[in-house]
Amino acid sequence: MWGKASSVGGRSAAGSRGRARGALGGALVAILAVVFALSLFVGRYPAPGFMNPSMLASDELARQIVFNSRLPRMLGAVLLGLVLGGAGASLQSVFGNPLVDAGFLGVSQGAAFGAALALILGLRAYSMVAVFAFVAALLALGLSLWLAERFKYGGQILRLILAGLAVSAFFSALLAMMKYVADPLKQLPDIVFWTMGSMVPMSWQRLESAAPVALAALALLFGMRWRMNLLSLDDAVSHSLGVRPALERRAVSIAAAAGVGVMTAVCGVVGWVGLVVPQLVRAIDGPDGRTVVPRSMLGGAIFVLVSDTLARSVFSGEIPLGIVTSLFGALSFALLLTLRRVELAR
Amino acid sequence: MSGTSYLSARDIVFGWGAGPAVLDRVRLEAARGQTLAILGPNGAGKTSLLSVLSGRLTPRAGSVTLEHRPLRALSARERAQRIAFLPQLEKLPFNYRVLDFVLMGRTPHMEAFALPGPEDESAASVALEALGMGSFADRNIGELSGGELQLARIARCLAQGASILMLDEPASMLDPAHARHIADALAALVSAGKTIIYTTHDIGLGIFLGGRAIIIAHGKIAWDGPAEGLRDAEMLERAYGISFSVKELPSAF
Repeated sequence: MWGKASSVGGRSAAGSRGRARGALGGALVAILAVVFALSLFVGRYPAPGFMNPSMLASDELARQIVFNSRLPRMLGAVLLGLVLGGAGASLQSVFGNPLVDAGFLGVSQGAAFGAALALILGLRAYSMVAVFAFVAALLALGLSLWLAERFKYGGQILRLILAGLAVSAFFSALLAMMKYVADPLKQLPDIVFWTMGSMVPMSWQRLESAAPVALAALALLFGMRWRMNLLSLDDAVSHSLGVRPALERRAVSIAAAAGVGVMTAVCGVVGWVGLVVPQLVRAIDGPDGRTVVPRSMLGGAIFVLVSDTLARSVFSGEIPLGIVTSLFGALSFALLLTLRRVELAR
Repeated sequence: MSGTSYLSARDIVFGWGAGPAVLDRVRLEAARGQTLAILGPNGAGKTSLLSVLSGRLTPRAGSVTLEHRPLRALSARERAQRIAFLPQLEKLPFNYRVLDFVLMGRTPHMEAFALPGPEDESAASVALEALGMGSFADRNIGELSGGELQLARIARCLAQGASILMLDEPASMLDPAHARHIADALAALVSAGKTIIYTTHDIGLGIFLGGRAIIIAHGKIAWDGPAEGLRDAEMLERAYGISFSVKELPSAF
């Protein structure tokens, strides 16, 4: 009634598909390498456009710009993109909802409030702003998880989403309050600039301080890429398969929030990457966590790196990175939905 | 094979939150390789009983043992290697490839951070073949009909390699042909030595699959006997509280 078994055909088709999947992963790595190499020499020195790499041998200022300014900034952009893409893909999987990203548990708004609070308190040293932002991001995450346990409406996933919504709104209100009381000439511009996101503050020192947490988060999310599939299923099913859904979903949430929080603390709020990139990856080669998680990381890195290169080189003044990613992100999101390529079953 | 106690539930009391008990001191023994149908009116506690037996829900009192070991003493992975539970419905947020979907059943045989290997892929393929779904391996679950999806879900349980399958309403909401196909698939699993415990509202399915049946009413086992006994209209009247008549009607079973 449902066709004869044809395992041989099935397996060979799966094999060619497997090779196609491998090819996409390789292509993303190659694209990232090429974009990285090109971006290193794109900028506004000595003139807007492409710098001749041979200048590195002769020009001390060129060396300074490339190795002490562009390189840490670009590595930071790659790390930010890896974290945003990986966190978005992971959270979308474990919450079984392709429309969530790292911001939805209140992490982004929490970080923004923390940074604004530090600036209002007159703590303009960037390390203080970063510490406040990171602590507030984790506080927002903790609050979301804590509230979700106490909500008396909905299942585990709906409670988390609702708690994240409430906590995000709460921190948005606090952020608005900070803006309202900020000195409009001294403090407000800093707050506004920070909430628009930028790679300008990235330096070797800040990269070194943020990298351990970000890399640990990436390692955990990458290691759990198969579990993401299981966590996307009903809890009754994943439990039957030996998964502890509540515990593992929490581990993924904390890793994603810590990774995004630590990078947001340095770079400010950079939106849309975690939402759009995993959807693009899923539209191209299916929803399997084994491919979606690593490819969303790579795709996120390419997206942020390209956006940041444009942000620092198109105009004589720098455009905040968050504006560029939101612009491209919102456009691709609209395009994706128009083309009906958002992968949803039943 | 049968006769020895394999899965045993003793004096199970279960209720949601502080609410009234849904299951009230239920005692149940199942033998290895047995087919056990759980019937009863809506709200009688069928799914709750199945969920407690599978370790998904914790009873207020009483215990479930598997081969004389308390279910609670097994690790999640050990339990999953022995018992596969399939809820009546499940959300499917992403359009997984059928083979990958069935492959998820292999998880209890993998380490926490491991990926499925070639032997897992072949186990998933074998499970699909066993249910006549081999040619669907490369399709996506979103393209399957209700009956095909149900077979893919059962294939996932099969790939799990558990000796006990607990299925909540496995053949409900399907047309007669698909329901019959599922029933045939389950009968084949019974012949292969699996222990199958399932809930159903379909008395015909219970008689078709044979083995043993119980009827739950008001949180207690109201009747327990061979599935053939489900032909007894007077017994059904007592269990369901309505009158039954035995008629010859077209049936897929």
